[in-house]
Amino acid sequence: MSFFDEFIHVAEIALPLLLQGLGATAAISVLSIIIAMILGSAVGYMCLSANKAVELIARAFIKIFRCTPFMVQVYLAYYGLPALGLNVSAFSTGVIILGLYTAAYTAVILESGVSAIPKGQFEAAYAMGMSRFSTMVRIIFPQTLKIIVPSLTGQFVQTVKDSSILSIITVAEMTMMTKEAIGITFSPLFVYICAGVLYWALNLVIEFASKGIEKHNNRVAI
Amino acid sequence: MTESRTPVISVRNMAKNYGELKVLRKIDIDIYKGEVVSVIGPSGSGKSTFLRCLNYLEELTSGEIVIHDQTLKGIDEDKRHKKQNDKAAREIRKNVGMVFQQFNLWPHKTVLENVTECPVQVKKVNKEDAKAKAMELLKKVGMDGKANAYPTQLSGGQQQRVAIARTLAMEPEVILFDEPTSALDPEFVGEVLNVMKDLAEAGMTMIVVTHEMGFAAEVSDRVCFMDGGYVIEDGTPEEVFKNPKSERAKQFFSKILNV
Ligand SMILES: Nc1ncnc2c1ncn2[C@@H]1O[C@H](COP(=O)(O)OP(=O)(O)OP(=O)(O)O)[C@@H](O)[C@H]1O
Ligand SMILES: [Mg+2]
Repeated sequence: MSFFDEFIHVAEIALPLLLQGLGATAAISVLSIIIAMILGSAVGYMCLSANKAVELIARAFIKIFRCTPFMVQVYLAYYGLPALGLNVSAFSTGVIILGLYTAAYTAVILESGVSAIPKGQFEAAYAMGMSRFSTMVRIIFPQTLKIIVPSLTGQFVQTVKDSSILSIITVAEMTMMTKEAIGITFSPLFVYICAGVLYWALNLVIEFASKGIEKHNNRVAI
Repeated sequence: MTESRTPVISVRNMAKNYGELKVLRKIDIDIYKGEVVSVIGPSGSGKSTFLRCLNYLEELTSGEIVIHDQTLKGIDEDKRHKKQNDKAAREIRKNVGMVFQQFNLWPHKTVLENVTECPVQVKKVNKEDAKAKAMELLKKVGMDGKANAYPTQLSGGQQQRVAIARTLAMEPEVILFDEPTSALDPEFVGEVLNVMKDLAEAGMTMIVVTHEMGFAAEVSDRVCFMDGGYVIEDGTPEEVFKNPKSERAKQFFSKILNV
């Protein structure tokens, strides 16, 4: 059998499994990113609060998730949630912990975007009677998009890659399925090549979406 | 000025510190309806700080400001004033507009959107009415032709005229101007001053921090000279420019007239 024939043979067996894993990886990534955007916005907003206690809580959240290894967080969630009486599936545990982890980074990116906006932009809105919240949502946030979309894209690509770590808690995502396919084909090299290409393809989708948003921004905000 | 009229803005014993730095030491001033008050003085004398305290962009350290029936109080006397101030500020900002040296138009919104944003979002005016009103105001400041432009496409003078229209859209009773022409190239100063002159003639109550002595002398009813955290001259332009009582004002005028 030629090298190429062998690759096709392995791919035929591995791909159905990998695609199944890809579906799970995509689902985990999308759900985690949604959690990260919502929670990250809230935490980022809390960081800017005039209330010191609120700010402190937000900063503590960020520190905890950024300063410990993700793998440790995954294990902690896997063994910790049941200990707290929460019996959630490995999949849900994975989504939650990856969502929280990404939220911490998202919050920091949002905060840095906001701090790049001149003070006068806030003051004009406050002086006209706008609340802090609508000032943030309607005046400041749209102006930060230009700055933060590239960093957020990088972060979300990272999220897709980090989802592979969830294989350690038996989530049937792509890395887990890769190992399974290797078990059947005994051809780690070829299977990992397939997996790498699929991860890359998934991240191309994110980058493509991001380019679309950037183009839209450039058209709107001159 | 009859003493029996109630002032629109009444400042009592106001002081403002930034940490150790005492920027405003003791300010007492009443502003009446329809008055145009120019505030002049050397750089760093606290003119901007004074103005920014009036609409609570800065917290006052002690004393109080009464605008309508709302009161802002110094937070050194009682930390609880902070909560009450936040509440009072929301009402005050409905009646007191501000025009900034750097215009501060929102760059992601068109000229028209800049003007309609707050009437729609804050006052809940319906969009069509807000648009019609905005176009009327833009016409008044000579900017109706640029309604769909973005701020960065405009000259400084044009941006400032839009900023004035944006402030007028909230129908304020008083407008605070902080050096509205200082960031402009000389050729654009006149067009902004003309808009302000029209406003003054229409009876708008205005407090104008300015280095334009011509404007102060010609348009204002009152001129206040600030230095060292006090208002040390307060009178008609005649009184303050021709016969300043204090040595410091005399020195200031001789300096700027020599330049
Ligand atoms: N946020 C701040 N923190 C600390 N010090 C400040 C702050 N804002 C202003 N100051 C100081 O307060 C003093 C008065 O400033 P202010 O801007 O009110 O002066 P001004 O009369 O408006 O001057 P100018 O004519 O230069 O605009 C200055 O010494 C300034 O450095
Ligand atoms: Mg100033």
